[in-house]
Amino acid sequence: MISRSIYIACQRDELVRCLSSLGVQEPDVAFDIDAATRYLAARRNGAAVTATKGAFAFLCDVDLFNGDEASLLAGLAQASLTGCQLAMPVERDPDPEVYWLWEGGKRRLVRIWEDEGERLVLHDPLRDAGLPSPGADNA
Amino acid sequence: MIDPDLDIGPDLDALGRGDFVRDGEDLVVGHRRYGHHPDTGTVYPKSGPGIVQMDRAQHKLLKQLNDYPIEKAMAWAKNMPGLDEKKVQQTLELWRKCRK
Repeated sequence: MISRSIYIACQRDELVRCLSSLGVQEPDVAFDIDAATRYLAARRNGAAVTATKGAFAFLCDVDLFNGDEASLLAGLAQASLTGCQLAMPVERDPDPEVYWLWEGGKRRLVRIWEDEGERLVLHDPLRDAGLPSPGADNA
Repeated sequence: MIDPDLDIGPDLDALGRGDFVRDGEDLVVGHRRYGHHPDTGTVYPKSGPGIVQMDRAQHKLLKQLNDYPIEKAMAWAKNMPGLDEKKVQQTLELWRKCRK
């Protein structure tokens, strides 16, 4: 099983298609805790979705029971080809603000800040932000 | 996560005064270790007394506890892979401290 928190910038009607690229089917796109508990109890792939403000529209806690990191990375790149932006924390970086951002099928490093009280998410899209170059083994 | 009982103000003051030890890319104040962003000057806690290491599932449980009634959060936790009783109790303890 693999679980990741993924920010997505897209319209609400595009969200299901976007999550489908990651292996989550529409009935298991959960907008409340009861629906999330159901997909977890059934051991089905699912995503618990929270609306955010700012650079991204949604925070999706994606749980894939039949997925691995490689398939998730491929799915994120695929989903971004349709105009969505998706961001996921760089797992091996101790800095919790460092994320991969996928856009147009390509990924790059960004820094993301979240005000949890306001659910406001900002990212730094314009510069390298002093981050190390993205090595292939740093996902 | 920073334990709510810990006041990191003195650590931040020490960092601001330059009263710290560099260890690689980390800044060490007393027994606490901080990472930092050289470009922005911001720091983040990494380890030491009062710095609680929580895994991804515990962070998610904390979010559920903040957003939903405890009964629903516990039902979710029961089904969440990777959350054992010890981790749930540790998360609950921190969450209750934050609510004081």
